Amino acid sequence: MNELSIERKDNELWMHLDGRIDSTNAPKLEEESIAATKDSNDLSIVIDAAKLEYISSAGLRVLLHLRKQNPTLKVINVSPEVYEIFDMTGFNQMMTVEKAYRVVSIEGCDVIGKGANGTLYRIDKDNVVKVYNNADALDDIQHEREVARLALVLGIPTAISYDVVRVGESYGSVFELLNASSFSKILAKEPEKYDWCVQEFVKMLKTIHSTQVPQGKLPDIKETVNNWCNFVKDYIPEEYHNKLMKLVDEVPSDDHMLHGDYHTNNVELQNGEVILIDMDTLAVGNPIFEIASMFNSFVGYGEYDQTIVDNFFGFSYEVAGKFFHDTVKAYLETDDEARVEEVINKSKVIGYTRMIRRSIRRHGLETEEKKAEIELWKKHLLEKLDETDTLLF
Amino acid sequence: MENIKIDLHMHSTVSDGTDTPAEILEKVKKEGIGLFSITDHDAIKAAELIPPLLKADSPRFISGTEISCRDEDGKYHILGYGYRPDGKAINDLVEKTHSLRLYKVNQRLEFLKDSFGFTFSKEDIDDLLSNYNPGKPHIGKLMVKYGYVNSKEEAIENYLNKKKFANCYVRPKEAIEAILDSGGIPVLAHPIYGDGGQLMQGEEMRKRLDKLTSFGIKGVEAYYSGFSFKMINEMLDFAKKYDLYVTAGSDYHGSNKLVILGDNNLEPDMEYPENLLKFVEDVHKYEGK
Repeated sequence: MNELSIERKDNELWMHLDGRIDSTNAPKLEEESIAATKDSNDLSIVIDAAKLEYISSAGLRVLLHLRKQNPTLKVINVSPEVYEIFDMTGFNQMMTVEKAYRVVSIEGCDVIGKGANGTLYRIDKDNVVKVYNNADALDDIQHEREVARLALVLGIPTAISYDVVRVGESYGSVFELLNASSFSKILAKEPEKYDWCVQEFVKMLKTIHSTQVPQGKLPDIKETVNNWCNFVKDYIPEEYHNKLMKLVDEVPSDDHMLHGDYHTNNVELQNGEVILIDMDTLAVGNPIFEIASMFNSFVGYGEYDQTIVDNFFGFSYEVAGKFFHDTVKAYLETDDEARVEEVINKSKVIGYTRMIRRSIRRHGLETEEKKAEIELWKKHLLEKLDETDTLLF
Repeated sequence: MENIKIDLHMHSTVSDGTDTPAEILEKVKKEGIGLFSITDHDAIKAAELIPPLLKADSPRFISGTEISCRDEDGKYHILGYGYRPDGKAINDLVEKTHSLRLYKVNQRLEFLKDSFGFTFSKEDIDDLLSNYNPGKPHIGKLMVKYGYVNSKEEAIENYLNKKKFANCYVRPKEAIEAILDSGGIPVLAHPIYGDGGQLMQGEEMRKRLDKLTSFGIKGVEAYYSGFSFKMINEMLDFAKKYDLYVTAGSDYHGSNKLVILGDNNLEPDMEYPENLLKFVEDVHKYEGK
């Protein structure tokens, strides 16, 4: 029968439906289902409806009975037309029914940003798609949608994805970004707007950091930072590690928002309004941790090889360093250069810790080049630990 | 308090099920079902076979049947419950459906021979006619066996459905009246699905119930294994509006279908609707009379 092909994948039984299922062929679907599931009750059944054009009540009933025999059954890749039938009859309440995702191609699209979890492409004049690195990213997408919605409710201007799509083997979420341009692009193309960029970048940062988040709505950055610190335990002398743990421990909890990946690729100018994107790292905590993350993006990652920063932002490493310095200065509302250096040095303690962990996790200690990079950061980290008595500023 | 488990719609080997009535009784006991009925298509034989097997602690049994009907507006399955198995009207009705079936099978076999030259051995034809309920699927199976077609579905769609019969069916009015005449309660089976393959909701269902209630239908099978909660709720609303009994059935057929015995979306720990409880109480009055 060409309407149905059955495939066994480990403990899953995949049934691919094709064309129309109605009362003429539903009995056959039932017969074949019985034969396929006869000897194995603990199978998870996945009904792939990608090619299903129509299903009548007779076909729906077969799926319902199958689902009662195999409670984990789910129907996936359901087209909008077929989903309508599930919805109208109420069968979407009787089993898990997942809609098919629109397929979007990113071939030839401009990359407008690259974050820890994915890459942002402009797919047309008004829309961008964030393609997630993790192939099984549906939970991540859901999380990002939720935190973006929360941020918007709390008064942070941001873009919320309105659709989840398939991009090759990955998932993407689509946002509307009308006539938008990232601050990185502005800095690269219109250097005369440098001062304005610093001013707006700091204004947004202060808006984020002054936003109080209801308890439990966002993760506490300290838990994440503790993980980074625990990771470097085996790579630095014990007394230094103890000091690092103590410094982090002494930073009090804070219920104000942090972006977690705040740099000029993630701040956009859209129709005269500054908006924040890439919200999946949103957390709560002390601003020193945000400054640490900014130090890494603008300066740290380029300390061994500055082309990393050049390529990431599209402007030079020198501009990145100056922009970071001026941002911290404006953020602290001070002209005192020593004060600016003091805060940056505190942030470096966390910054280097994180970079060491990231580099080891990504590349291991195999190549001489990576070893040298990690050695450099380790040296800086130990220096900063010697100088620092508190992360508070 | 936990309610009694109910299944009022099952098929045995008397029609197209794979379990004998006695085997169904055993399974009903095993499932802890307290009230059951065997509703073979156009047949009442289980209503004779089951009572001698019942003991004092057996589940309660209600005589049952499911009559296929049709009129200008479409097809229906009408369930009959609690009738007297020796009632003349119900026996005449079943006899009529049976002879209509045999007549149609013979006509179809002739049609296949005259129009397409498909013939079968006398032995196979006798075998076919000895089925209690021979129909298109049985002829289709035979056609596959002889290599005339590749599948039963092809046989039905491309050949058997080409032979039409005028006025060669039981009308819903006849079925309802016969069930009532023999002291039974007529109930519309799986209402939203018509005779199985349709999808009738809203206005269409209202029209259908207007007509059937005027003929004397007394209930609707609102709890059905193949219904969604949405469909159940729609039928419960209709039952309330038309003041009809509510029944619950699985449409269990044995091992040739996926339906689970006792499954009708009715959970013993939920509150049963009043018109279901009333059915359970009222149908009792007819039992064994």
